Amino acid sequence: MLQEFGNALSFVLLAAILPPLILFIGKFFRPSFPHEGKLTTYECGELPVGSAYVMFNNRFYLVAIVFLVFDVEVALLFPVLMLFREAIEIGGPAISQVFALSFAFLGVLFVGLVYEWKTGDIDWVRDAVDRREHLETLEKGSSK
Amino acid sequence: MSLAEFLSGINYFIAHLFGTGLPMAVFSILSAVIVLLLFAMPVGGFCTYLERKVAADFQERIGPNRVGPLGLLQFFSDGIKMFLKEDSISKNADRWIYNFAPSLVMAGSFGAFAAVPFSAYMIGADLDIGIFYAMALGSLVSLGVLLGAWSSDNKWSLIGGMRGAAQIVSYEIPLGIAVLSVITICGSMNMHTLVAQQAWPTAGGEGHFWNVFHNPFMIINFFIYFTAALAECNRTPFDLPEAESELVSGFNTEFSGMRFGLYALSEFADVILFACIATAIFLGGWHVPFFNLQSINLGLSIGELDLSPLIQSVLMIGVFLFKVSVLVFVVMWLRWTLPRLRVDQLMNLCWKYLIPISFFNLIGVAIWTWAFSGRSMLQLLGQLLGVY
Amino acid sequence: MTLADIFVAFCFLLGGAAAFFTAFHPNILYAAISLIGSLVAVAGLYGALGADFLAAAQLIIYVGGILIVILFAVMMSEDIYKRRFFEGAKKYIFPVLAAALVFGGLAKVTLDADWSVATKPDFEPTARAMGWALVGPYALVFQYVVVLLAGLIGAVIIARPATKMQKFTDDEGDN
Repeated sequence: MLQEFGNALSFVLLAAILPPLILFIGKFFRPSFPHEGKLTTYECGELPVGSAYVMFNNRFYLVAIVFLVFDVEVALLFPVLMLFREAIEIGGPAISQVFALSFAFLGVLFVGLVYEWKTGDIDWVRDAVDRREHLETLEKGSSK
Repeated sequence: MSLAEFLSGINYFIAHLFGTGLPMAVFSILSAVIVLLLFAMPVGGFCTYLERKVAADFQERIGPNRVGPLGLLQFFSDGIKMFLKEDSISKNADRWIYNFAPSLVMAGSFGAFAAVPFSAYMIGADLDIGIFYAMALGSLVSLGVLLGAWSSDNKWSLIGGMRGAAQIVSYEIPLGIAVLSVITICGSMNMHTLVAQQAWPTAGGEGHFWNVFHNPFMIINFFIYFTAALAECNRTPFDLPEAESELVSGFNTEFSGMRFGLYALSEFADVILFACIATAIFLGGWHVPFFNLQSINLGLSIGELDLSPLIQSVLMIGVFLFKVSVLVFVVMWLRWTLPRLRVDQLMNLCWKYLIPISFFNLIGVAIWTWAFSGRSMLQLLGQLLGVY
Repeated sequence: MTLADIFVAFCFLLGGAAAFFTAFHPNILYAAISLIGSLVAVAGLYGALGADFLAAAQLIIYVGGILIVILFAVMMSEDIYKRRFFEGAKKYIFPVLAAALVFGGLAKVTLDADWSVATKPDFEPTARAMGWALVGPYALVFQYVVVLLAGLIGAVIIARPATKMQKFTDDEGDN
């Protein structure tokens, strides 16, 4: 089995070495005439305004966090669902174990997804929830 | 059997000539060189040409037809052009990360070719966790895109890279769940087992033909897998990270010449990779109906070395690549047919549509497998009609 | 010195160097990125020990998940490119203490363990055994996903945009 890992590793290493190798070999064939205009960043023909390292909206971070939990779930379900056929053939308590546990697992995370949906955390633009709350506040304000 | 083992059959001749055979490490590297440098890179380059021809066809024009017969050498000359272009890096770009990012993307998309079963005797690495390994390397691509975009000192690159990373990362989940349902049916993550299980009954298979026709949920799963794979590769309709009109060129704005060529190559390699995996786990890999390719035995052999695996492999690779090319053509077809999704539509599609649908599909597949003891629609129909 | 031994040695070196950079590099982004090296080295070590599923899971979860979260968090902090941390030696006291405690504990466990290796282990695929363990004796660990979900909800509540009303009335274009 270690031989197969070695095969996989040689694929990954070769793939990782290719870009620096290609660029290095090309260094001897490429021209190199650095010029002020070529070295500035591209901003559709204008000079760049401000630093490129702007602060970002944290919707990216929210998506990344929600992804993380689902990623762990998918990764952990792989070995469990591999046993499904085997557990069916064994029958009896084994299959109900696998079934019940993996569905409980999926169910818990699905509830989490529904919660995120309802509170608007997975909306890219917090449209629905914000609109609703904005309208509610307006109603409260006008009904005084 | 892995490709390295297959190639080590040459040790039979080398042992005759030199006394000892070569170590397996040599065949390991040789197999990587063959699959990556002689298959993935040329075919990836050829896909750039093919895409232009397909685009031309859909837009009723001719496309490249000057370089070589029918313009077939166009990708070759494009490659040479990109190789010879000046590599101008902007002053404020972060040198180390800028050079490191393409390696991550290439390692992610090319390294996963080790899990593709080209024939019954040729797979890069016959891992027990084959499909899981392919998914693990796919997650490196998002990191490479993000780092590459950050290191080029460009606001548009950064926006494109952030969106790209968020998109690739979100669509890994429906992809994983679609693969999970295949594993539920087959009971193994090994790519050879996944393919061998889809054999025709006369070829020793279980009789459920291709996994995509196993049960109604699997058909939906195939479409979920295909959609998620399109999003993973940043192809239209999900090509917002490299949106040509919106973000200049997205995350690869500041990469010029061969660096851009590497990103474009790894994008096509990703498309081919996902098409290969979809063929292997959904469309029956190298199986053809009614015929068992593994039974071809012309009795050819050189001394004690049996040549029938080689002959069988040639046919199997042919069948496999035919199915892969159909899928790649569909990917290219979609590029010139569907408009691009806006970023919030894209995220909505993933989190509010694909993930719930794939969840319920997984549960449906599990219930079907339990209720019918793993038999497929065709098997049940056959049993009903008394065929077997 | 087989190839596997060379690989393990390389993983140790890579992991150690990357961990050193993660802990001590003044630029926080470089520190987060050298974490890639250390996590990939750990995945390599898992592979060299025959734990195939664990190595791939390390790549998916840590490198493809947690590192993305860390990088997004780092990239969204203000002025990260200009700020230099670690000013003054007083900031080293507690981390050194904690690291010394952890090192002491690990050293004691390592030295007390029984390291007699009889024969070279014949590596077997681990995914199936892991599956049976997760639905059998370790089923409660498997269900700890509830704790993970609680963490997720907490993080998401903390990370929510602060002023929702202003965002809606501004109606700015999305990023």
